[in-house]
Amino acid sequence: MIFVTAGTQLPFDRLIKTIDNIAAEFPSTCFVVQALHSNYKAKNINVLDFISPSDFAKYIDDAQLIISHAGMGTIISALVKKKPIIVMPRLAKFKEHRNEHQLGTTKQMDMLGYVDVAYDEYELIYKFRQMWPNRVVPRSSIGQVASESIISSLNDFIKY
Amino acid sequence: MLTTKQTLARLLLAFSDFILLNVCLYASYHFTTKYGFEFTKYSIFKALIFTWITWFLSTYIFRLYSEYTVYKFKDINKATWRTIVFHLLAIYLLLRSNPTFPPHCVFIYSLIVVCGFLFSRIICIAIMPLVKFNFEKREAHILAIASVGGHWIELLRIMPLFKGKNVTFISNKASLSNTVKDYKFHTVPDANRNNILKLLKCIVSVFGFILILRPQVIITTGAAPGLLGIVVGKILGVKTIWIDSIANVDKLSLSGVIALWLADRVYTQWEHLSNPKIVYSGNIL
Repeated sequence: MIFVTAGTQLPFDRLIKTIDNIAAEFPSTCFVVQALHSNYKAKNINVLDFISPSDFAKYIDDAQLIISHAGMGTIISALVKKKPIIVMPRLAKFKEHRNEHQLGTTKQMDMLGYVDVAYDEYELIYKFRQMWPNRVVPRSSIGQVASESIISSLNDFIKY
Repeated sequence: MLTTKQTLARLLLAFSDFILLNVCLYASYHFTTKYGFEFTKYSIFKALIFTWITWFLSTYIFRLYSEYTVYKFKDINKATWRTIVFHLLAIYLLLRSNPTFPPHCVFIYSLIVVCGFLFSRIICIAIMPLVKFNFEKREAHILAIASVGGHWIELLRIMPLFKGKNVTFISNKASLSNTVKDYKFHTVPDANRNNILKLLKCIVSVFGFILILRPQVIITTGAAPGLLGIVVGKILGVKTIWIDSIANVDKLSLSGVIALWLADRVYTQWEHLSNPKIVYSGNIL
């Protein structure tokens, strides 16, 4: 199963359109897609508007591959569960977000080797064809909780 | 645990402040009658009740005599100034609602109250080292605020910090209470920059929770409710911590920049964004 999540703030049609095309190309693959409804009507996939946090955790658990916008919530969840994830940033120039911070997040996450990234639709299709179904491996993973340094720094500040 | 001696010291402080305030009131009454203004019994009663209520409220809100406040010069200072401003504000509002109240009486009263509180706090600072509080064991009540989504997940990453502590969580989605089962959890209405009515509802809600819960520390990973928490915390003299989201790689978020003015400490999760005012100490990955 492939879990696709585009967040709940604004529509992200470029991603959904691309997934729709990929789903047409791989008819035997199951897609679970979460995105805000918009003008674009997907033909090959069923789009869920909102999923509860517990369902979200379940889908992350079950997914063989996650494709998502550059939201840190999804990225962290995937890294904790050691799931392969392809990240495609929302761009402000297409009115997909208020500012261009997702591009920065994506670049940094790519540079540090945490996630696979696709900066546009073509790269996403290319990456997907390359990986699915035989070469799906997580690029990295993280522990259950934050690093010791930030926690001890916070603890000291609360105590002093 | 607090010893009897420490509790007594705090009670004594509170009591002496209360007496001092009444003396202030009497003094201003004395000066005003000297200038030829006649008080009715009713207005004296009203002034007395007003004084007691403002004193009680400021004691409650700013924790003037709590073991958390009286221990450090900085905290005493914070609480004192806020109490004085609160009193002046209350006096001003009283004057607005009662135009017949003699302004010079009110002026003298405000002046005496300000001097009185400063005097009382100097005494507080002077006698506190004698009482020797054991502050290693004092336990802060922490309020952790984050919006649903990435902010909440980032907050959950620092859970080891909250282990064994008295923590209350606030978010804007009720179903998140499942993720922090061992702690208290409250929901506030959602808010964003574009909807003023929703924002107002959120402000009232956050303000109410902070007034009722009276945390000593507010820690937030972001978005609108967290920033409101920082604002309210600043007004009430709570220690506030803003952790900017790891998603902000190129620059601090707009909320983060505002928090930089108000919060006691602002964390960034990227070393290249840190400076003497913005703290970097690793990230939550």
